[in-house]
Amino acid sequence: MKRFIIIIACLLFTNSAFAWSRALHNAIAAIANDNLTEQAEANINKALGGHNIIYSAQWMYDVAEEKGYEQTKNWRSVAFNKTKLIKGKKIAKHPENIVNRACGFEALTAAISAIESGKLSEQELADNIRYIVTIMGDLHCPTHYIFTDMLEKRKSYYIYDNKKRPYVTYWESDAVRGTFAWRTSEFVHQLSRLTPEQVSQVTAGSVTDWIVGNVPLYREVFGMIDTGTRFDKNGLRRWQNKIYPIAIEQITVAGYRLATVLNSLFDTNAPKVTIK
Amino acid sequence: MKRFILTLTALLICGINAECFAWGGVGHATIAYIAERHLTPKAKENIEKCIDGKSIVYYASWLDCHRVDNKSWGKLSHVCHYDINTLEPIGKPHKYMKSSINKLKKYRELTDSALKVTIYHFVHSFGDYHCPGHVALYDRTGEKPKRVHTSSYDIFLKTKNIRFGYHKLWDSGIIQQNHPDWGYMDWAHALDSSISQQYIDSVTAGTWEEWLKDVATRTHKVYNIFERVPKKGKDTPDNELSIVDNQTMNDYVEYASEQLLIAGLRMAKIINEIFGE
Repeated sequence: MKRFIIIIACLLFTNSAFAWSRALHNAIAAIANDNLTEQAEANINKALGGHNIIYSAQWMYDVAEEKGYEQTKNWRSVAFNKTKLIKGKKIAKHPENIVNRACGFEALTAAISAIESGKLSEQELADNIRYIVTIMGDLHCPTHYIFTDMLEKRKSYYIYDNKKRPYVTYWESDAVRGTFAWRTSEFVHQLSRLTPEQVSQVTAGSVTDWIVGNVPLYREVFGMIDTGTRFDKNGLRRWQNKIYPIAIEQITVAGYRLATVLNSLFDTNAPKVTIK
Repeated sequence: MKRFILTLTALLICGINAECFAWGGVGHATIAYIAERHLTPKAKENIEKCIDGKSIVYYASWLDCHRVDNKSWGKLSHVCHYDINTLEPIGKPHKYMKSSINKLKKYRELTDSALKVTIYHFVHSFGDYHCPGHVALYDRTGEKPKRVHTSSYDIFLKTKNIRFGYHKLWDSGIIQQNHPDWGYMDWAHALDSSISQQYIDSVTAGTWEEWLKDVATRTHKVYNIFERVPKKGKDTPDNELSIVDNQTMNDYVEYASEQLLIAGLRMAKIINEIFGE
């Protein structure tokens, strides 16, 4: 009986180990896949053994317990001293606190640089593509931004149906799926429809610009809940109506930016993305 | 302990924010997506311009989500009323739909925000009005109109061993019970891939008011195929409720599927006529 409860509880709460849920990581990868150039898509799929990037959308999470990949657990978030990106952290195996664990920026930029170097083995190339796919998704999930002056906010929760529900967990899935129960291809149908002008807008600047540019909005996101707020059905709906457009936008932007990075790396004719 | 396990399991299966929209979010999205598949390129381009480049599918359940934000949107009725003797649509819901369609016909004269809300209302309520749970028949022969059949039945689905209110069964129960793993694209693909032009012409012939009359007529027949037991308390044993057997359930699924399809085709016809110029 105990074992059964543990299994159910694990299934229920495993999601909290993810940034976006699997469905939303898939969505981001699918939007990106839809916006790859022909050359980039062919090169990437070849490097991934014939699979596309959607197949690997959450691979970095899937292998996190495997030997040699343990450090990837620290690559899911980024840390900020208030609004200043904390860079240059060592990708440590056993970090001592949440800020030092937030090596997403270092891991992402290292993966991009490694692919740019052109000196990777087949296995390393595939791994680094998959790292980029997952991390780009993670770094567009507001609750994966660790603000040193807002650490308490990470413990925020709301109460619905007499149950405490962590705000951070809410963002992983229900921020979107509390409103839209779309499948992967449906996310593409709905969100992969930016105009060229809109694409230029959301992909302008460097990778660092994107990450830092997310900060004002993501700080606001942490302010969208007063911990302990008790919602009734209408109150929850009203609150969700403010949140889902932001979440949808982040999924969309992440997809397009991921495509921009991958096009830059795998299409010789595509504009080059810079890190700084 | 049992309760704890059941709660955990229910949370695991349903998520904390299970949808409770009419037709369900998937049903409404299916109708809008079928409509989208039958739009002319010009109509699609024009209507999407009015809603910031998004698909009409995005807004298929907008009215359900946002009626808490604005009371007037909630007043845009989701249930269509009919006279039981003539089966003509009557009352405010009919009036609201008429008003929305008339506004859309002059869409270039509307402000951006008025146009958006009108499109959201049309896309949602037109789907609602094809949902059997959203058909309300009124007897108007007496002094006051009397609602003849309502959703006040609790149904026990024998094959699934599950209880539903009549209204909720149609709202999302049938769709979720039969194809819980389907999204709107799956539904549209299953329903809309091999229909003939002849079929499209037959279900879209006539006016939108005649279509609603058709919905009421057919829904009335469907409603009559199960033995109705007036609503009882929550503690009533399952076998004392209106019991829906396998055959009836299959007929219901068939009917619901057809309603999704024809609602989508009819919605496309209206949008094409208005936005296809």
